[in-house]
Amino acid sequence: MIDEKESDAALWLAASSGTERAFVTIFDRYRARIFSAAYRRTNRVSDAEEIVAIVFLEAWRLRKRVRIVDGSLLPWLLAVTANVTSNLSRSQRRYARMIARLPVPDEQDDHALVTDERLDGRPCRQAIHDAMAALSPGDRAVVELCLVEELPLAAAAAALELPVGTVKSRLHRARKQLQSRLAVTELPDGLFATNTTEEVA
Amino acid sequence: MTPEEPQMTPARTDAIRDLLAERVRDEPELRRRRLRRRLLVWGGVGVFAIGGLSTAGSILFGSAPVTDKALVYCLSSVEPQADGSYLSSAATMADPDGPGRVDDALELCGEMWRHGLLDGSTDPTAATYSPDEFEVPELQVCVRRDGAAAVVPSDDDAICQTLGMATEER
Repeated sequence: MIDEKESDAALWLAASSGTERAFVTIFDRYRARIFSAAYRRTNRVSDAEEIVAIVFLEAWRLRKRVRIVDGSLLPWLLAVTANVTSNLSRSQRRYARMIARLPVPDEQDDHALVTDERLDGRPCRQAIHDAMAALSPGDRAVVELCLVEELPLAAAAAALELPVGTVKSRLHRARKQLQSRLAVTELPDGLFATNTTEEVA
Repeated sequence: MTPEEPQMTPARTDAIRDLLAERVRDEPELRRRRLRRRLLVWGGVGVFAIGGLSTAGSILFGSAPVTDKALVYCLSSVEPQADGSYLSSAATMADPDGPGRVDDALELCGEMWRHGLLDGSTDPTAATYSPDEFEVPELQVCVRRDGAAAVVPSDDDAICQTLGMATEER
């Protein structure tokens, strides 16, 4: 019997020992966060849903290497999400047979959402999206974990299996690039401010 | 998450949940299939002659690196047969790009022990065969004169020298 309030570590131990209910509980616990991160990158519901599936299939495939950071699987899952999204076509090829078994997505929904957003008048969203897309995959993963998901530097470093110093320098470099690319765009106050995460180190 | 962000569609969410549950459920069968596909065991259990040095103990060998990674010899026992040879299986990992290659001899032979392929009394094709129920003995990695690894079931750190082989250089 799986307790829904069980810690990530206990659930993961049960899941990796073959308890499917534990794995499904982890999926339900984090699927919304993973979907949200994936959607921000792809702007397509169907792609983001496939990324969610792939991230959890990857978690299962790499189950011996999963890292629980500060008692949570989320940082590691978000790091996998960043990697999967950067190599989406390769990931989709790896799991093509399984993805083909998912119900056909409703493309009209995607189109409607994108149109709504455009009509909603959010030019800065597209500008941010473009500026993020111009970053290297490594820098982008750091930005997503530290600035978008607001993980502490140490948690991002653990999830990405990088030294904290490397995460810091990547973040510094990425911030400069984003600031220069977004210089002409009106951004919300505080976004990409230079002191956002310094205190965590 | 900002309020205007969409959610996963219920139909695909349910399908992904089912897919993941099935993936976990089917893992033992998939592992069996993977093992059958990847493990090439030539001639089942063969004999492994240790080039006339099997009675050693008098000759001390140092350590040496594994230079031939195409094959690994997994010994079933350190007790010599009547002719002085040792019962073993030669194994490799199939590589679609060329000859087989084994980077972790210990893992490969450990896997064979775990599936009962080296205990001499198990028939992996039998209907009652169930992997993951076999005990893995303590294993030592030795290096043969031809540079191939030989994995020996023993808790004796000096077993390689006893059998006339070098210990693995790390």
